Amino acid sequence: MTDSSLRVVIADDSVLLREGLSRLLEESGFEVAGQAGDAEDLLRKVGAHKPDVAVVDVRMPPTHTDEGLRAAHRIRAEHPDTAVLVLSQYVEEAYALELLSESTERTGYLLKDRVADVDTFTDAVRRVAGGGSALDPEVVALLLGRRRREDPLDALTAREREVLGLMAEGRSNAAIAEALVVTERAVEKHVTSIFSKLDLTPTVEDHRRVLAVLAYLRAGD
Amino acid sequence: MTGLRRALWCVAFAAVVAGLAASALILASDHFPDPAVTISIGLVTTWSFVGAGLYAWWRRPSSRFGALMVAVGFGFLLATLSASDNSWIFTIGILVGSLYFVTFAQMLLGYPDGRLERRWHVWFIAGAYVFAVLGMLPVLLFGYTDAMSCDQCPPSAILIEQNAGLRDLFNTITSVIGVLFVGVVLVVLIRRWREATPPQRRTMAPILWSGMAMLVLLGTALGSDAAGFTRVTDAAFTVGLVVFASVPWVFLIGLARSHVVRAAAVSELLLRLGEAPGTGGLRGRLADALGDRSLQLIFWFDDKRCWVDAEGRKSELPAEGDSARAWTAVELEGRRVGAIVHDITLNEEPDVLRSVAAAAGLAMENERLQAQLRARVEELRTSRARIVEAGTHERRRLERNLHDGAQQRLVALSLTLRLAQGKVHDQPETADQLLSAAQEELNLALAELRELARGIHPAILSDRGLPAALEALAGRASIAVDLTELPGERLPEPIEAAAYFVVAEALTNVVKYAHASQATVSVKRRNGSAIVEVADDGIGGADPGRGSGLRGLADRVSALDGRMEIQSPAGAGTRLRAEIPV
Repeated sequence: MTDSSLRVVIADDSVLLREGLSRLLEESGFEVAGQAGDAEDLLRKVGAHKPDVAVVDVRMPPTHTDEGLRAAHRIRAEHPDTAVLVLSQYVEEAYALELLSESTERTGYLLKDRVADVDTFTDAVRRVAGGGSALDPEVVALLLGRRRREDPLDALTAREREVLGLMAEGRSNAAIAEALVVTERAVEKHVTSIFSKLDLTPTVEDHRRVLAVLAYLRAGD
Repeated sequence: MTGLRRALWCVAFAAVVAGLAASALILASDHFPDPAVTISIGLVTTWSFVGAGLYAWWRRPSSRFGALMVAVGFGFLLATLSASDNSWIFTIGILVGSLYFVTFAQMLLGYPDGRLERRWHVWFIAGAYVFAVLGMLPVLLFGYTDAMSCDQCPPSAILIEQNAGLRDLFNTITSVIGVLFVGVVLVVLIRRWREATPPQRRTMAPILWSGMAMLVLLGTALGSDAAGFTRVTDAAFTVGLVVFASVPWVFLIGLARSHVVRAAAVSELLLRLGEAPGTGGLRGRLADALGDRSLQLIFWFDDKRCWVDAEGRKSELPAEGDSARAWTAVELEGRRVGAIVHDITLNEEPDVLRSVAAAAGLAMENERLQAQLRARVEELRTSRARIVEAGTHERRRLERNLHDGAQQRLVALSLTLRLAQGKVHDQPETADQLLSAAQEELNLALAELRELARGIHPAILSDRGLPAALEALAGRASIAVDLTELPGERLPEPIEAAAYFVVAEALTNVVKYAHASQATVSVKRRNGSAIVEVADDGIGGADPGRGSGLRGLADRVSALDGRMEIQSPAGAGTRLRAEIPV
């Protein structure tokens, strides 16, 4: 899979941001198949271009509330081959969890600020395009940071918490190993330990694993 | 009551028997002129006092006035002992013959409840009793005066020697003391009259004026006796006796008259209230009906559990032991609507008060609603002013936060970028570092803006509603927050916003002050209201007046017709409860 083969549709009501994103993605080797200013336009263009990824802003006309999220749900339902990466102004875990609750496949939720960090951003785009998931680190931090009455997360070591966080972000074992500068073998051991401490059924597939972790973090409160 | 009634009948019977015995004594007497006249006067006077006294006693058992009146009647009979031909009984009769004057004075001073209100009054009356007995000693010790013209009288049992000089000297002294005594009583009564309120005057007038007339005549008799004007003495004494005998009748007539007047006023009131209920001026009508200009109406606000006057201001009931004011509750269909605050003398007529209170119920309810409206308007006016003030304050705070936060960072960022631009060609490495720093700064500015926007109005609240917004709030709190109950459906936007900010501010306070380990939050719909509750397990003792935050929240809630209360007993956590009608 080469970047040149990844086709993207961008939806944002701000022309400035749309153009910026478009330039950034093209410079990183993506092909921008289309741009949309609102949800309706987006759905139309996704239907026409069948892109690999739709990058969607949460807030769009006409109501400027959560059109982007609803459009994302429809894209996932109507065009299963198109991945969706939602960009949000808010660290709103409810939105993210809502988006990722049914399936974490080809779905992502990032803070809009993240686009400035080109590597993280393009990595997330590639990850969702490849069938994986992406969840913003701030949202993950928020989920991990929730105060619980009897917190099983307290049983985790600091390293295990890091691994859990990266898992929740949607990273693969290889990516986690790279980020933490350890071997994949070590990451696997941590994962097994986490799953047993949290009483979760171990699973190999990345997206199922993220789903389990998120469901756990969500139910924890 | 029946016990009291039986006792009163016994007293009445005793009065009849004593009267008849006294009459028999007079008839058998050798030295009493005109027995028929004496007996008539004696019986009429005695039975009038006893009868009127018993009536007053029966009407108001708690008052001693009736008993004193009865005592005056019996005291008057004691004087007839001097009709006896037995020397000792005659002597005792003379000695105790004036006691009823003192009892009468005590009755006047103690009106209307029969109790002497000052300590010196008690000593004064006690002294008067002693003096009433001692004052008769001169004639008994040193021989009768000519004025007594008592040829047939038995000799005094305690006669020492006939000594006109000593007798007249002591007699003059006792007369002067007697006049002084009467004068003191008069002064006290006049002062009391002047201090009395109009309704008090109305009730005390008959007894006070007839009593004072009697005292004046007695004083004149004593004075003229001391001065030797025998004819004046006799005349004053005779008229005094007539006035004295009429006192119970005046008392009864006054009582009947006030009843008739009151009853007429009350029925007039009923009629007028029936014609046009609640057209205002209720206070004036009640004041007319009860003859109490000082009468006030206060209304009960059930939702705030407080008393409020007609202007909507908070008010208080007269205290339990208040000596001047009392109150009567007004109810409508078993519900308290208000109270009539009136002169304490009206308590003597509970029946009248009851019927007036019952009649006033509906009209009072109408006025209560008006008063409630005025109170609400007043409250809204002040809370609106506070909301405007809070809005201004909030804008200032936002301006400061923007200025000190994001704006400063953007200025710094602009500078950094400018620097980087200058070094791009010559020192690309430094430029690179500067750009990284700029990126950092920008991230911080964005994060700050995000937080600020969230504080102004969290988007999730309008997008997803209260439960999602509260979950987000709970997830961000630095203590464990349990959401025990949340509404299943969306509430109107202003209510959701108010509920959200109530919880947000409450949780902020919990974290800041309560030293709590956890908090519970619930929002539920009950009886057409949204009820927001935030409770913690902290140290309690929160002061609802602390900080403008809670005050502002209370205003926000009251702007939506709701109310907010805080219970925070020391050591037992804090519970904040807001109720907002939906």
